[in-house]
Amino acid sequence: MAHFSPLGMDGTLAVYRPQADLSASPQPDGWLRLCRPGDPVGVALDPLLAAVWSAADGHTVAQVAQATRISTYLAACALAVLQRAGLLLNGEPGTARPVSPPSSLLPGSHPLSLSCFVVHHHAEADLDSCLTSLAALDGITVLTTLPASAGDLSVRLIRFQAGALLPTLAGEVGRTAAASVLILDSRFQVEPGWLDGLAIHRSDGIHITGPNTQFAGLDIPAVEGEGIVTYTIPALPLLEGLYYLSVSAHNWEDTEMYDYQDRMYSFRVLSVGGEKYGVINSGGIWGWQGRVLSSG
Amino acid sequence: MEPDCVAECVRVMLCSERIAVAAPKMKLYYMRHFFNSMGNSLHPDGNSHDNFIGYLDAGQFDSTDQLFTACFGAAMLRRSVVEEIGGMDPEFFVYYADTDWCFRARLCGYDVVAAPRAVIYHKFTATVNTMASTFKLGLITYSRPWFVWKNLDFRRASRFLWFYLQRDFGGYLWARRQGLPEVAATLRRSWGRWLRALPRATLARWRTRRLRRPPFSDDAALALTAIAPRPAMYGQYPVIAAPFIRGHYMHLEAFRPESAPTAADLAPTDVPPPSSASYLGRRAWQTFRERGLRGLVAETRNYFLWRISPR
Repeated sequence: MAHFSPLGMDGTLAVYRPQADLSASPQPDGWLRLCRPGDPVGVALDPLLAAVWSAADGHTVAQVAQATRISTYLAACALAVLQRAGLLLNGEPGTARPVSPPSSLLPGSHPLSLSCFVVHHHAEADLDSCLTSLAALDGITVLTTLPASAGDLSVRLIRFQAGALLPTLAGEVGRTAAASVLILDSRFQVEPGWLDGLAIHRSDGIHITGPNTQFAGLDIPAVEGEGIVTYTIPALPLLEGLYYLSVSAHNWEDTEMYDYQDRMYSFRVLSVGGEKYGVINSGGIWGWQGRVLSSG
Repeated sequence: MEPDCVAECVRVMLCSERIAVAAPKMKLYYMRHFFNSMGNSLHPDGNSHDNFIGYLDAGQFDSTDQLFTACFGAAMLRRSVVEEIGGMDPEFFVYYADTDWCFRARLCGYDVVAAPRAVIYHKFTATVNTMASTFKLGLITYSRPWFVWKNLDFRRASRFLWFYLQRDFGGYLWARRQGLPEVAATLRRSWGRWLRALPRATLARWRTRRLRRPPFSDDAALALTAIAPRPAMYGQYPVIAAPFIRGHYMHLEAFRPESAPTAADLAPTDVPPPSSASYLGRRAWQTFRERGLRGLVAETRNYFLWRISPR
């Protein structure tokens, strides 16, 4: 029988994230569900293993252990199990990616973090109570709640640093209503000459949109230190449902992915009108012409 | 199915005339390194489950030989035994039909064995997931009292029936409170159907228990359910979690790192044995905080039922 002894203990062998056919669905309780196409079941990882799986992307065992704050022994064993399960692939010796400080792999401080939501059509009191309850949670810091505007609408801009609970948090805060404004803000700390992209998927896997800065013709020059990219959707005519956001940062040639958080953030669109079939509210206007039949 | 699956099953069957069923290693179709089952077990708390379900296959269960019963999702049956003891009981549909048949074969003195080198892949829950959510519930609620009353010795059968009745009555009340009328109706209908069929079940029990033939013994047969560890499942998903890494995988040669483990690595699994007083105290406090006094009473009752359950 093949021996699946853990690799990368010497710090030279990388363990990569697997091929892109695995879809990851964060669960509300912090677990992560991974599925292959067509698989209605998949496999569930508990929060620790989910962190190991996320941190393994191009890194050695030692780096993963440091990032997830577990022992190298446990990290090596967990990676070997994930590899045997077909959820990770081994890289070639010497391909370990040099990384910014390993702590950046922690769920709490991704090199790229989606950190803003605009919640519109929320009663102000509801929003305040939501923020109060969020601020009370461990590991969550509400940074700013600034008034902002987009077009004719006045909205609230909320920025928070949320650590491991970010996906859950986004799901809670991200209750938005059809036709509201959504502003996404991704923070980054990567090399110059890069692209920022995002994607929205519906919960049944339909890819709603996938814009990036290259398509938009936005050329971002070299930036010193940390920067912010903002993407504003002036109207969000999605129908009611649960949606997932992905964010990514990669180089201009799309040959190197700096970070990719696949469907890690969710938000729910609530229905405010009568439309319920399809994906979007087309916003059309009905009219009619004709002579009313006289009852006499 | 792996190309040599049938040949491996035949090889196992040829080992002895007493083997009625050879159960291959059934793995998940999409996640091909994970177990779906290699036989079934009836847990002392009354739950029936596939052996090894949710575990990664690293060869750690390949020494399994005798099984309590086989899963007929894939199994090879000896024709002469089928002709001798008959086919599957039409009272069962989908669930427990295989368990019932295999237990009958055991009563008649035959063996049910594993064929770990025969590998087959199964689309787990692919059909059931297309049915109404109460479809499986209704079938299981009706079939499991039938199985235990028909097949097990009186002491175990009556105890299991008491468990099922309590649990399903609790489920019925819960469904009523939660506003799930279809679940409550399914439980009520299934038990009503079973009670109406009780005379037939008793007759079937009388006929089945008469089949007992050496070397069958109830204790020995039920002892086979101890081979399977608790399922590694999270709802209907196979799971990889820290307690399983620490409690199971870490001790396997296949996953053991070359470096030395720390004391924290070798700490017991996150689910210590429930006999530990401090663990029980912590669990009770946690249950009380999360679910209140009523939840604590319910959990305490479940715990004592589990403690007095037949082993």
